[in-house]
Amino acid sequence: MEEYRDLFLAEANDYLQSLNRCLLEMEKTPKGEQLTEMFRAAHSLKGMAGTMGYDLISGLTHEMESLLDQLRSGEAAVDKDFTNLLFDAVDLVQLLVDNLESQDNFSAEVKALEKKLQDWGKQGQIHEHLPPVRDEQSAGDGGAGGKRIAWEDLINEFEKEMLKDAFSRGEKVYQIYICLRRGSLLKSVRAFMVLKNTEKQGEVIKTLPSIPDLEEETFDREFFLLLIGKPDIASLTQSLENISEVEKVEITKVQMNIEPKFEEATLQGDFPTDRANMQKRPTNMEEVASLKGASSPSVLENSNVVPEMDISQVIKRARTASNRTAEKTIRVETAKLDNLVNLVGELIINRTRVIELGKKIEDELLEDSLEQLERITAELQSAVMTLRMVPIKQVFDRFPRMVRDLSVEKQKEIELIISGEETELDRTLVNQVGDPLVHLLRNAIDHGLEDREERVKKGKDPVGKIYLEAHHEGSHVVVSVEDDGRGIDPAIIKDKALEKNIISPEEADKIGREEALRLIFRSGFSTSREVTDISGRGVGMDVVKASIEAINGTVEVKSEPGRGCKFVLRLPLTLAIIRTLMVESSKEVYAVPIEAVRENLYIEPQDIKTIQGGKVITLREEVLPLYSLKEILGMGKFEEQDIYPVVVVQAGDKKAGFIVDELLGQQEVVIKSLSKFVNDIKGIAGATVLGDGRVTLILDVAGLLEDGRF
Amino acid sequence: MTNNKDALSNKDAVSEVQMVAFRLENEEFAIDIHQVREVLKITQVTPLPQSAHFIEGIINLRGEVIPVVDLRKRFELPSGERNDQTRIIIVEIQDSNVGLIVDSVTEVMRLSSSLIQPPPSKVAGTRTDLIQGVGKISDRLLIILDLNRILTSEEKIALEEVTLGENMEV
Repeated sequence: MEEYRDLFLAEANDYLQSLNRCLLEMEKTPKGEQLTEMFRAAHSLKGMAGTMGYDLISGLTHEMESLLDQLRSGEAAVDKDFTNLLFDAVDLVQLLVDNLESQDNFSAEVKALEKKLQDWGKQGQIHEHLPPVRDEQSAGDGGAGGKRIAWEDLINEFEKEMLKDAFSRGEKVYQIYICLRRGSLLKSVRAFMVLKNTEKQGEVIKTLPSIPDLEEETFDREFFLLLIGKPDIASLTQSLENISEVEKVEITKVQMNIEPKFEEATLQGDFPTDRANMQKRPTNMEEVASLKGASSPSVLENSNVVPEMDISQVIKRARTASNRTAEKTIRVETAKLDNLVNLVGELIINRTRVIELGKKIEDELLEDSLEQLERITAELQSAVMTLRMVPIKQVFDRFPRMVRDLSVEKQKEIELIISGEETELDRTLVNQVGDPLVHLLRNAIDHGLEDREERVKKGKDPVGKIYLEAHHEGSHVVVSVEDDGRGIDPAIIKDKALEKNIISPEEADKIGREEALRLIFRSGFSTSREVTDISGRGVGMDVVKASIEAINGTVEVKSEPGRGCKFVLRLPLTLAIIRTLMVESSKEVYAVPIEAVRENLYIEPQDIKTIQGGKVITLREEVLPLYSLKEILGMGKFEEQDIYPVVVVQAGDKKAGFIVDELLGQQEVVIKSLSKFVNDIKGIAGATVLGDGRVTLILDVAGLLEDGRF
Repeated sequence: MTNNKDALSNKDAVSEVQMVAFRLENEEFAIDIHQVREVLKITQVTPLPQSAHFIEGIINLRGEVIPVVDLRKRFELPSGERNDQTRIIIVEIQDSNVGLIVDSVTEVMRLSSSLIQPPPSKVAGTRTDLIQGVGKISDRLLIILDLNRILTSEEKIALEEVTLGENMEV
């Protein structure tokens, strides 16, 4: 049961996400597809909840489903009140899903909302600007159902060329639908006859099902042909109807766009091309006006009645369909995935050992196969790492709804423009980047963007814009939040920082523009309400910075007063692997995350000065405290030497030099957490396993520098 | 773990527990086999700065980093020399793996629960608060460990005992 519940939760959240997205789209431009998609989501939710015995959820989604169904048939109106009502319903379902254990507490709310939904349905006015939508079931079962196969998705390059040639000769494309009599015993023969007769009038370039399938009778009693040529429709229909056991014939003209651009849109989409799937995909089936009196259609009438296809619509629908990648993915428990990653890590470590052993043996054949092994394992590793990667869309998808709600609350008109949501990063990071982004977006809406009047007065577009963008940059993911609001004035920040004693007057004089902006990240800067009102920014920016730095990322801020403000987050691609500088100290190897390392240098004893009993060095006119890594780790005493290797590290505003025994070079390492029994050691971020199987500690520079000693 | 406890508390029932026996200094100890994952030869242990004195460090167990306790230090015994008999017993404590360094692993044995007695007030040279019971087989004396306390700090144990005492008075 537990297992099913997790599955239910995962799927329910997906459906809720899609309901939210559709509602948002519908608010902007109501379209039939959204209703259909929402209807499906509500329907699936209802079914799942019913199976699980979550009656409240299934009851509520049932009402949503009925209302949506009425809308689809044009029996109810869509307007702002309606979307708000549905938003409420979606929120309530979300609440129920989030509180599965205690959902009964909400039964009063559910009942009230169910009532509202029912009442809305009863008002039942037909709304003009929302066309009724039919899916394939409602289009009548009496024949091809006016169905038009999405041939564009099925034809290959060769057939496309044939079509192009045919078009250039002024020929047309027709879809021929044949239905054989129930219980026909010689289906393949009938199909062959049909084919033969049709080919007298042109060229059949494609059949559905395929010709081998027709020959082997692996079809029920319907099939389609795609014909090019200039056929005489009446005589063709006649000749086909004369074939015995043919019950029904429908010939429709097909408008087909086979320009390369279109090909890209359709053929590269994730279309399942087998028959079974095709029948299930209403989005891909273009509806031709359904035929009246489907039992005995007159073909002449038919071919005249049928309107030519609206290509732009076909493309649009094809694109919607390509968004649906569900068939191509499976859900896997994250624990299984982590286990796999771990095992591959082990494999890599063992591979290194085997290769080292192999070098000793010096056998050519062995060397070759080891090389092979090395290559395959490297590929395996990178393939496995990509399994952990998920698109940042998972986080971004939350924001349109949030921005919408905030814009209503703050009475500001806001447009959120999202790009790069397909950018992938490690799933653990995706979870951790969400909150800081919420913070930044809230700030932008709350303090950054002006209200309508103010924007008009300043000659800006009355609608405030927020750009949320993500892209890859080397081994980093860059996420930026930019608004076109007031921006931040460094002078005001500086004044406020002075006032709050965050900086001294001397410091204030030295501080440049950029540095002044960075003051908003200092702790203690932004707790006061009054600061944020004047600066327009800065609620808990120190928290944002801390949480981004906790995942080895950085935050930058850029702003032009009056023009807007941009926050740029740079995140590592993955938390699991980091670049480190390996150092040796008291015979042990330690890994220092490269993000924290500023530089390496060698100093001589006379470079070390003493201030109040503590060692310091002067590096380019900057006085840095100097510590022996041995001593701060409590692993030994500082020893006099002729020359000392020093790693200059920085965490936040603190900089220091660590004296080590030896600098060993850079290495990428896989971070492993320490056991829960020993995980709260200050200054140790985790451990990693080196190629030879040894365990090495990864230092947490911030933790080391935070210590009271410094 | 629950098995073990039940076995101990239910002395009348003739049930058996399987134990892994090992040696530390001159004493013989035992752990319920259900908590034992595997036994390794001593390997290189990476020291862990600023951790409890009895934590020897961390090791790599097929990719998992696990802490290792020097049981001699834990029981305040003089530190002994590591030799080819020295073993690391990997045990599971509260869903996490922990290694225990012991002088040698002697055997796996079955022990009738009727032979297990509550810990005496004092076992020579060892700490009674880490002991769950004592098993007697003819002339052998097996000290059965309470693994849940192996990694708990002294202060916490002391605190637990104070609270326990108070509760008992009430």
